[in-house]
Amino acid sequence: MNKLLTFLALTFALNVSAQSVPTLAEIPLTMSASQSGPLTHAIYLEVETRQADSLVKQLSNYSGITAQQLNKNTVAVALAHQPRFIGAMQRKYAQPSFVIDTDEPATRTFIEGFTKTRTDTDELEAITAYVSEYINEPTYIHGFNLASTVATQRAGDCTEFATLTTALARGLGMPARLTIGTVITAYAESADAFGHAWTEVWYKGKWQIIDAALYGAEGQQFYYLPTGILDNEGPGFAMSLMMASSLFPNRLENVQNLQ
Amino acid sequence: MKLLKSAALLLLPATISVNANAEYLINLADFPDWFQQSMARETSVEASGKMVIEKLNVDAQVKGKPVLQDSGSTDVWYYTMDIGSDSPVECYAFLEFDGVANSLHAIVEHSLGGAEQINGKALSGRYTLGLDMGMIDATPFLQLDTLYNLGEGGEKVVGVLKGLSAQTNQSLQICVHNEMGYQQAFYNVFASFVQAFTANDQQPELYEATYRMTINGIPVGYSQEKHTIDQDGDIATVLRDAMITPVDQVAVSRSDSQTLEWSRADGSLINAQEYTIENGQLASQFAISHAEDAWQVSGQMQGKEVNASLEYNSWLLSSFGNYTETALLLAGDAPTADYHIWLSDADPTSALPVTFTKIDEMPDANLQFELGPLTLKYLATENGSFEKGSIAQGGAELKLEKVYSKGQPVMP
Repeated sequence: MNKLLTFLALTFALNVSAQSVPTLAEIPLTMSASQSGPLTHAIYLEVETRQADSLVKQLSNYSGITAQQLNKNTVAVALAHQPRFIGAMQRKYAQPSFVIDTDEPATRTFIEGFTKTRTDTDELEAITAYVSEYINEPTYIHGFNLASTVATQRAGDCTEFATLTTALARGLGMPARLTIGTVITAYAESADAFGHAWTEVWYKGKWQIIDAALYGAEGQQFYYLPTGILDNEGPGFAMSLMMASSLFPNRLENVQNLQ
Repeated sequence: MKLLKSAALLLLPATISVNANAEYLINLADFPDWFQQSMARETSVEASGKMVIEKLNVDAQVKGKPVLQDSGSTDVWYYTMDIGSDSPVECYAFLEFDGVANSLHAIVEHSLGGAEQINGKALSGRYTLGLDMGMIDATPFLQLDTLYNLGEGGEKVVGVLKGLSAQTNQSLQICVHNEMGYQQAFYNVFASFVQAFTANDQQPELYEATYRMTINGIPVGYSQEKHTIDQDGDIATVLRDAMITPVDQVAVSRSDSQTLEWSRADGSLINAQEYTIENGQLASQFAISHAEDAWQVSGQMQGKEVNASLEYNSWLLSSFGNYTETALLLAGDAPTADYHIWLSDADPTSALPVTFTKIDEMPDANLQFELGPLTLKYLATENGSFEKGSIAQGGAELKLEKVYSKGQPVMP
């Protein structure tokens, strides 16, 4: 039963989306009846969750997000599409780890490949575009691959995109961390939401989101609702994934432009 | 009273047979009439033939007239079975394999490649048509049905490839049938094929159980446990998990894992070895044992070596111990019980604290299991056996249900 329980927990923790339509990562979303036209820069939504107080605490670490607990299971959230982590830059976000293994030969070769082809474009965009193109087999897997594995296999879902992006940023000397949460994709007349993973990079004195998995993807706006990070980057990283995904919303209601 | 109830439970029928009618992920009503009619075709397979594989101790009559084809290997046996449809059922037995889920997917891929060759047309589309998990007597199986197109434009053809996979004690059995319909006939042939490999089984297990897993109602896999007592009174436990999860309309992820665990009669772990294969790759392989006054872990994850001495150096709860300690908790006055467990999938380098708590949410749950942020509410019987449980997270709900058991998780 022990083994089974972990199996189940990881099944949940790793149901996150990349670029096609995932079956199990979708989080039900309902637009407000009063919302007409596309979602714009900032939105309001009500997040139904089993851990409202923990979610409010987690979101308080970000600028661009205002969260207020409405009742035991609901949090009202005002969300800019690019919320910014306001915590300090820790030394560990710049170092190699078991998961973000920038010291492994396969990862080093991948990073060198970027530096050789680097053009004069915006640095964060260049990183995002490079990883997006490098992973040439975007596919879902029931696992979480180390950066060196992704660099070798060139395949994966959003967690692999985020792992490799985090590794590339660190390899270039930029502190970076892998973030887990929900992404809301707004289209012309609708929106949907999925469990997702992306990278936060310490760049020009502040944390910024980059997302290679959704680079160039269809959608007018992407709104990021972070529920945790891969805090443990050692062999026990799965516990961090479980922790972050435990705050995933059950559903998102009343989604509308922020008045 | 407890003894009487335990005795009564022993008398319950332990075998559940489930027919293979996969949970379709695609609504067949959306398809043209001819397709629906083709999918509804059936036939009765009356013919049978003898199948003998000395190396696997198989000597049985099997439905569908098995004909051994040249497999080119001494560890693979490949049969075709005529069931009276246009295409034969193809069945394989493997002595070396990745697992029920991974190997089934590999054979499906191989068969789709064969369909391309035979038709002289490239695969132009595919969808996961259906998934299921069931039992053939005491043997769990997985089903994966695939709807596919070959060719383009006016040359396009459609096909359905049905696949079933089960692991018996020594080997793996997989059957595929590349034809629409004949679902029950195909299942019957597969069941007969699998039973040929279990006919001579000796089953000395103390306790054996299989749990069916569903996510949002979709059957995605199973977990099987077999607990046996050795001559010293220790318990050998074999755990096998197999899972095929739909990740979008086309792709499925595959995972197989196996654990061999030894524990004492009091439910404490002695040692364990385990491995997991995900999507055709060895994802991890670990062993734990107590040496030099500490728990020592060695193994590898995605090819990277992991060696550690756990900081925690006391009693670890084993899989069999889950049952014994659950029974003790239910029988006693304490509301909770705390333990440490070792779960390599969660963290191979730590002993993880877990808490069992009595709750009253009958008829669905009387216990809660907490591991970090994970909470599983479940129903256990007085002898500690797990009956059913669920975890909800995000938009998904995962349910577990015992579909087979034999014996009792109680030391004689």
